Amino acid sequence: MSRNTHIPVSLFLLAFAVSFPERGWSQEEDLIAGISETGATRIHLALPDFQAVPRGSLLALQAARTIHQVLRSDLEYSGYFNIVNPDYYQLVTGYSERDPKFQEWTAIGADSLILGKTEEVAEKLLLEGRLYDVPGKLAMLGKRYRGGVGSLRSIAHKFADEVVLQYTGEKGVAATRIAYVHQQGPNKNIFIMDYDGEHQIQLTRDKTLNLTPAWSPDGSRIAFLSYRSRFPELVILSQDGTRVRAYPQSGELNASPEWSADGKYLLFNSSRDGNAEIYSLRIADGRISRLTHHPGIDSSPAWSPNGRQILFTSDRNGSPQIYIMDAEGTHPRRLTFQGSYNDQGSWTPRGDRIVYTSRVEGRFQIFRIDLKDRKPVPLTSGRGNKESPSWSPDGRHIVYCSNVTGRYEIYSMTSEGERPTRLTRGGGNTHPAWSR
Amino acid sequence: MNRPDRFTWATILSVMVFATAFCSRGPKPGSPETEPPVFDPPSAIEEPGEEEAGGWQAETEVPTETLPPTGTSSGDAKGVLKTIYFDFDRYNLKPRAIETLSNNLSWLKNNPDFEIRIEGHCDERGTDEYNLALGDRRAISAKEFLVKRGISANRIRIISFGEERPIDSRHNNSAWSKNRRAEFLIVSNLSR
Repeated sequence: MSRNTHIPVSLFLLAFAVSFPERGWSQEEDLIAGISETGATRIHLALPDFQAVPRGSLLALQAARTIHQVLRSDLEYSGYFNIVNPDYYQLVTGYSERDPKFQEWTAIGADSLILGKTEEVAEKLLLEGRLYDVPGKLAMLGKRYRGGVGSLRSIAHKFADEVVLQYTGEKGVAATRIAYVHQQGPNKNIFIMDYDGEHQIQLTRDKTLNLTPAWSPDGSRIAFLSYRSRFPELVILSQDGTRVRAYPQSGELNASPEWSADGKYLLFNSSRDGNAEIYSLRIADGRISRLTHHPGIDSSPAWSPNGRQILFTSDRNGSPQIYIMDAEGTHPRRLTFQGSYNDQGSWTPRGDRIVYTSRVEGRFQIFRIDLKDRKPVPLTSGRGNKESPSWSPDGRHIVYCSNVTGRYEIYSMTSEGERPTRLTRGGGNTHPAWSR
Repeated sequence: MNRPDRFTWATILSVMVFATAFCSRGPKPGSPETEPPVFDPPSAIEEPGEEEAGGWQAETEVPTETLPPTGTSSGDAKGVLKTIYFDFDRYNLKPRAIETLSNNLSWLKNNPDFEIRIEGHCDERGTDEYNLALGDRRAISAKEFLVKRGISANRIRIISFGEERPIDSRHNNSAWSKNRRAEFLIVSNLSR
């Protein structure tokens, strides 16, 4: 009901935005909030099959089907759209990008329409995608992409993110990736995959352990813990496959790297001074600052999105619990009080919520805390462990790992714990990290 | 108002915002009410590229020394240093562990040419991240015991394997109690 009282305000602000377009964007946030909240209000999208030209081109037809199917699952996954039942599309006849037949789409309940066309041109494929607002009888977006059969999924992801951008002012997450750890016998290596589990690529090829990957904010580097030199070291792997040690290390534990939002610092935990403490590292020159001073274990650090606060896990009161301190290491205060084992805190990109792993009746489950009321909300329950939660860059989904099937696999779910979806197969897949 | 109505209005208005932006950029057909929107996508063509994974390159395989399997040590002194065990989620030394450590201490005093590595391990029931710190803390507890009683800190290196190297990979109490441990490995003999 509170949303009803909200709407006239939105209308006023939007009217204001129309008359002053250059100032309009910030005012539009009210509308975005209306769409994104729990996904209760969704856009009814008509997504008829894409046209393939020239007629008879198998390549164009297959591309049309693949892109259409990937686009559909991307947009459904985003939570902003309901796809209008395709059975009704046959009621709309003779439409084209020149004459989309808006009234007929309105009649079958569509708010929004996407028309797409793939064309085979010189053994390459061209996609033209158009987004229309049906009741407004307006074209909102037009895009052209070119690629080969190997890039059809990424073309669909890019177009999906543009469609989401039109409705929310923020790019979708369909072109993002997930890094994770995959076990091969006694060894563990770092892999990456698309956000939907496709395109799994092995990055490291060591006969040893590689653990706890973390993406740089620009997605061009991954920091992780490597045992290649016989002792656990923090290393940074770049997109081109080059690996550097994060700083000279002498063999103590250096673990759980986390990048700052500007990509210039890494938080990590280390026993370099004789006990597990939290440190920050300036990557450019290797300068290290110690942030915690406590004889207990301090581990699993994570920055708040604005960089002003740091989450970490400490057993300073007898069991692992999550604490928040200022970025300088001052004012540590306890965040979790429920349960005897809480770890792996992760800050939502918007900064208002935290997810973490909590042990309940001997099993790990994912919990969420809203920083306003600090009440722990369980997002998972039941059989198996669920661990290592990591937020999508838009804060609407969470990726995690679970052994609910008997083997560890990577899953994603909404920020409300709904629609858990398995992304990997074969077992031994843990510690996912979502790129920014 | 029911929800879809409200939402439709919001959508129309949001589109008006876009329309305003569109129109201000160049000549466009007149009112959308009278003329269908004939619009072409911008002529710019995006090419995401053929490569998978956004251009990420895998590392080439490098010859890496595999770590020696845990629980074994090399040389004449194989097996003389005994493993100590810990309680769940703990890193304090239990009386039994202190007894074992005292024997290890005497051997180290009698064999001053040997350097050792202490490996800290955990059972699988913690998170992988916290277990790395816990395994480390267990190795530190053992090292501190030895250093306080006269063994040079330079002779001892520590390493944590967290829950990654279980002795017993079953999922029961008996396996877990064997896996919560610190092992002592002889890594070099300085007299050789």
